[in-house]
Amino acid sequence: MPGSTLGTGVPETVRAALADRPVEGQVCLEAGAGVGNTTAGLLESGAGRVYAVTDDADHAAAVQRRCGDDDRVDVVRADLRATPLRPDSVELVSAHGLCNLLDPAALEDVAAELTRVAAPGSHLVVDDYDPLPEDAAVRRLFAVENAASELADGRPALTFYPAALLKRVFEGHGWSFDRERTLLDPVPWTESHLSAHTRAACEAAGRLPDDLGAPLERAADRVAADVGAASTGRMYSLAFRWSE
Amino acid sequence: MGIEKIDLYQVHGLEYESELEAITAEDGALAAVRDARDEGLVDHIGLTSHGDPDLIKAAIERIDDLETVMFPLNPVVAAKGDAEHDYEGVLELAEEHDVGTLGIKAFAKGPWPPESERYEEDRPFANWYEPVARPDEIRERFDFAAARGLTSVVSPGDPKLVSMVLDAADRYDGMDEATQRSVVEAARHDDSPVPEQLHH
Ligand SMILES: C[S@@+](CC[C@H](N)C(=O)[O-])C[C@H]1O[C@@H](n2cnc3c(N)ncnc32)[C@H](O)[C@@H]1O
Repeated sequence: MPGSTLGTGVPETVRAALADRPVEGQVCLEAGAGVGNTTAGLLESGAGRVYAVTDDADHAAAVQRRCGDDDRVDVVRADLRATPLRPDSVELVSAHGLCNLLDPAALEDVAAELTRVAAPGSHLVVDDYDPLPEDAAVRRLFAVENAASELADGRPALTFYPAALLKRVFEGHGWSFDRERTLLDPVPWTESHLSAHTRAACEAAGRLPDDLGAPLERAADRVAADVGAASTGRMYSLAFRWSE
Repeated sequence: MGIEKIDLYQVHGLEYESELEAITAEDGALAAVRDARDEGLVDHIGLTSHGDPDLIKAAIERIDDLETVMFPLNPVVAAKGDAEHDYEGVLELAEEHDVGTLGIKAFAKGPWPPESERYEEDRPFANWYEPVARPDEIRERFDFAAARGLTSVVSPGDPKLVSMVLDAADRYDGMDEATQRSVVEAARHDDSPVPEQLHH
C-alpha cells in the first residue's frame, strides 16, 4: 500500500531534521528517546536498526509500545554518559531535544560517549533550542523550574544552548560541521508544555524542605497562570560528519 | 439554474474503493460527466474527498482526464503525520500529474461542541465544523494552506468569515517552512491527549 511506511505521528521537525541525512539501511541511535519520535522517523526513513536510548523507565516503555513490534528497534535503558553500546557501532546518531536537558558537565560527557560509539564516516544530528529572547514570558516559568531543581538536585533542569555553542562542543570532539537549518521559528509553547513544566517545577520543589519548596510551588503556579501559551524562540538542527 | 455551462464539475464525496470503481465504470458518473463535457455543458472535471488519501491518489493515477482534486488541508490534519492523513502526499502526486488542488477545511478548528450538534441555531457560524474566527488565526491558516502549494484555498461557508479570508489572501506574502512547522507543532500539541508528548 503506498504511503503505508509513514510512521505514526512523526513530527515535521523530526522529518525536517532527517530529510537530508542518509538513513536507509543505517544503524542508528536515538540519544534521549522520549516517546520515540525520532525512532519512528528513522524507521519510516528505512533505518536498518535503531537503538532508542533513554534513562527514563516510562519513556523506554512508551517507545517499546510504540515501536517495539518492529524488529529493527532495540530500546536500551541507559545513561547516555556511559552506554552499553560498542565503540564504532552506529552510523547515524540523532539527539533531538536532548541537550537542553543536560547541564554543561553532562553535555560534555554525553558528547564524548556519542563520539565513542560512532563509526568512521557516520553522521550526527543535534536538534535543540536557542536561548529564549530576554522578554519571553515563558522564561519565568523555566526560571522557577531551574531554581527548584538547582536547590533539589544541584543542577538546572533546562539549559538552552545557542546553536553556535553546540556546534563548537561537537567540533571539539572531532566532528566536522555539515549544515544548520531552522526547524521551528517561532517555537510553540502550548498549554500542555506549560502544564508539564509547571508539574516538573512543583515536583522538584516538593522534594525540598517546606520553607524552601512551598514558595517555589506557589511561584510556579502563579507564573504558569499568567504566562499563557506563546510562540517564541527557535529550534535548530545541526548536522555533522565523522571523517577521519 | 439559469446557467449555460458548469466551469468545473467536482464529483463529490469519494470515500470507498467501491465508489471509485462505480464512478469510473463504463456507465458510471464520470461517463455521464464526460458526455456533458462533450456536449459543452461542463468545462472541467474534478473530484472531492475527505477520505483515505490513498484512494484519492488512486483516483489521480486512474482518471486520465481528471483536472482537479479537492481535499482537506490544515495544520491539525498535517500534525497527525500518519498515512491516514497524508494529504500532503496527495498534493505531491497531484502536482506530478499536473492536476489542480483545492484545499478545504483550511479554517476548521474542530467539530462543534456536542450541545450545538443538536441545536444548529446555537452555532455562531454556518459551517458544519467549528472554524477559527479571529483575523490573526484566519491569516495564519490562509498563509499555511497557500504556502503548502495548493492551487486554491477554498473559503469557509459562512459569509462573516469570507471577508476576513479575502483580507488574508490580499496580504499573503508566503510562509517559510520553519513557521509552517511551528503552526503544525502547535496544532499537534493542542490535539494530543497524551500529556508526556511534549517534545517538538
Ligand atoms: C525531550 S526527550 C527527547 C525527545 C525525542 N528525542 C524526540 O525526538 O521527540 C529527552 C529524553 O532524553 C532522556 N535523557 C535525558 N538525559 C539523559 C541521560 N543522561 N541519559 C539518557 N537519557 C537521557 C530523557 O529521559 C528523555 O527520554
